[in-house]
Amino acid sequence: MVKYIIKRLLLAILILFGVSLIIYFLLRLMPTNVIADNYRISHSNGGASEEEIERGLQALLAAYGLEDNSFFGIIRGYFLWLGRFLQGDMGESFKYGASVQDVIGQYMWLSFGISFAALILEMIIAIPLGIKCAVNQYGKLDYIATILCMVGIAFPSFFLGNLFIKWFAVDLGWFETGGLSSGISPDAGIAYVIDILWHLVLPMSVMIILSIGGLMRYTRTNTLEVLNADYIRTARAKGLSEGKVIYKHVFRNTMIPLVTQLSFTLPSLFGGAMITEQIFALPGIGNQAYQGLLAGDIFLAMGYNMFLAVLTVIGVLFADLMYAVVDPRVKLGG
Amino acid sequence: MADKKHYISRSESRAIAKENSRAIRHFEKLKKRKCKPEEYTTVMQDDHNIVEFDDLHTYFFSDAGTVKAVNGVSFSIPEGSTVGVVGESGCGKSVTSLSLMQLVQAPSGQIVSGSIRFKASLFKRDARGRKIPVYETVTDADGKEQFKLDAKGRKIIKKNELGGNVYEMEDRVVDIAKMPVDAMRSIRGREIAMIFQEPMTSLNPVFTIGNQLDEVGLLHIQGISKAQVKAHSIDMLKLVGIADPEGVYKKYPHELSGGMRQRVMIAIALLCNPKLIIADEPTTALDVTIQAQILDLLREIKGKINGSIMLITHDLGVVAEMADYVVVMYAGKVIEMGTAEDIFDRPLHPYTIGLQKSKPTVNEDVEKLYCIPGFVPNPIDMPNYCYFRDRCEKCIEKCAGEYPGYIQVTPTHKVACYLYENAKEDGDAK
Repeated sequence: MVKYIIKRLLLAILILFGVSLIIYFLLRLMPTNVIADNYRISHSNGGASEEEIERGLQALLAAYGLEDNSFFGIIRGYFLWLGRFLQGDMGESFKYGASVQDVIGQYMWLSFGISFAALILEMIIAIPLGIKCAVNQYGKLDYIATILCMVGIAFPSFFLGNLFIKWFAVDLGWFETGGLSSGISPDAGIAYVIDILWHLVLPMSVMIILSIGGLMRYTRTNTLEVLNADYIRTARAKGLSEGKVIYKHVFRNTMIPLVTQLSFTLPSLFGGAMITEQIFALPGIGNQAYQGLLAGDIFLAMGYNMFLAVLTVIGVLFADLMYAVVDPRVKLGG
Repeated sequence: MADKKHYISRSESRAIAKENSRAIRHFEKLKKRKCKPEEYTTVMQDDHNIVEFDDLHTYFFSDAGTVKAVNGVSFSIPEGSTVGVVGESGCGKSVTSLSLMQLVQAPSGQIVSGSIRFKASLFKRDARGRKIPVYETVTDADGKEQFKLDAKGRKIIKKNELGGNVYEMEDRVVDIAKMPVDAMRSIRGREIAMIFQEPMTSLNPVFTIGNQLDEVGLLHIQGISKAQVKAHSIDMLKLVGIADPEGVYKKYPHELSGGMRQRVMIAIALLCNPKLIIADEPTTALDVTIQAQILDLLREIKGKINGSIMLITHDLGVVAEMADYVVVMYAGKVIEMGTAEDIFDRPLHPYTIGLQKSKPTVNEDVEKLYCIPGFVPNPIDMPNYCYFRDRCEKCIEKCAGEYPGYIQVTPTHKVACYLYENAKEDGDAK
């Protein structure tokens, strides 16, 4: 087991190297560059000549390895970035005026909180519903749930998000259109928390509605497969009650693919919901990274993408380890 | 047959679906109903039997129409005997056995009519539906029997040798075809146990062997402690000839071979000392050397539990070795039944004769194995003449008539074939 994990981690380093190289190249090919923009703006009314500004800018860019956009220039820049990255320095986010680690660390937890709460609610609703639907296949509940889930899957998040804002925030005025708080000071204690939760109702509903369908259908399909297995007939032949058959024998087997599926949600848990956060103007990591990317903040975009890549690799490894935990037939070999 | 369509039109398909959902709803409701035990209590025709199938019909309501998988099956299993049910794949032998357990794949498969009488011993219930325990008694100085009391002055429930509570039982003949599922559950696993065809897939892969064994004990033996159940489970594993019962108890199914798993299945079946074991092709998925071991084991246990076995197989060799009585099925009907000697030494129905001929033999040198010509008729639209007529070599004029009734050739031997109508009158079995 330990040998297997070490082997997988070594492989992960190779994967991350490839991923970072590709992302760096793509980012360097972007036309915008927040450093150049900021530098020009701050020096344009200082009386310096155009030539002086350009020379100063080139020196600044060279310090970050961004001055040369030729192939070898980008390679050189990449290794400069990599060297700092390996020393634990992910660079400076010029848009936010702070180091990339600080930006990610600051905004990550809000996204994580929202996503985690949404995931828990999603599981509580989708998994029992999927099992119920499978047990009553082609029943009324099954049809209704399936139709609603399909509707949920089919909606794009920006559409549903805006629809909810229009209905519940603008027309009905029940919720706020966006943001995280309506200006209550953190000292207010419980009122402050309630205010934040109040703002999170709409974005979380959108996230749950969009993702519940997939998990519910997945659970339903898996349960149906297990329900037809021979060992379920054996369980019934023993005289077990239907509840025990479903919640012991069926569910334990349905869980195997579900655990794997859920392990893959790790990156999105920390990485934030980019579009939903943006629509509801939430200061989560997804939204911030999106803004940074638009402005051409190379180091923030680079740091964010590497953050996601690391989480994805860990998520996949975690999924494989969990697989061995829930399914005794799986043995992780070296 | 030339004008017969090979497709179902849209309106026909809709009509079938509507009819199916109506039928399924009706039968599911019957299975889930609450009713008094009197409703499904009946009497045996012959008190020596443990099970009597009487004109059993089990249908599958499929999208292509109603499949009459079991179409009027009647036979009985005498107490303490082994009854072999033979027939080719799809003849309804497995469905007959699953009907006896009420395990036919619902919702499409339903017992439609007929009855399955089973001599059950059920828990006696008081007016409020609770089981009545038997209490420990002592004989006091006056020679009067009195309840033994524990330290707190409560009556102590009598324990059986396994450590379970003893309750008052009553013998009652029930009609399984009319029983609601709730009541059926106390018969499944306790009174009738089943061994399935596929040992590789019949055990739940994610639970240990011990867990799957203990489950049955904990369910059916009230008041038993976990340690007692474990001891009993290990005893059962020992009984079925597993060399290292403690080790196997902790293992998962995938760590065992097919033969071992089938032994575990048999151990599960034996756990509550059932009166009847249904073995649904118990050796089909095993290789030949293991087959013989499993058959020996089944025979051995039958002696030990003093019960009956309903052995379902398509292997005539297995039946010849094991069975006291043989029932031959074809296309959902019983076509011939009798003692094992009757069927093997004096087969009457052309189908039984064909089956015997198509059995491979070692010492005879034959070019090609015999095979019965033709196919089983489509189960959706069964003809109303003898189902075997189109494949029969001995077909006579009378066979064009309706489905033949049973002809009692000898007191133990019955056959459904027009060829023997006169044989009975002549008193000649041949």
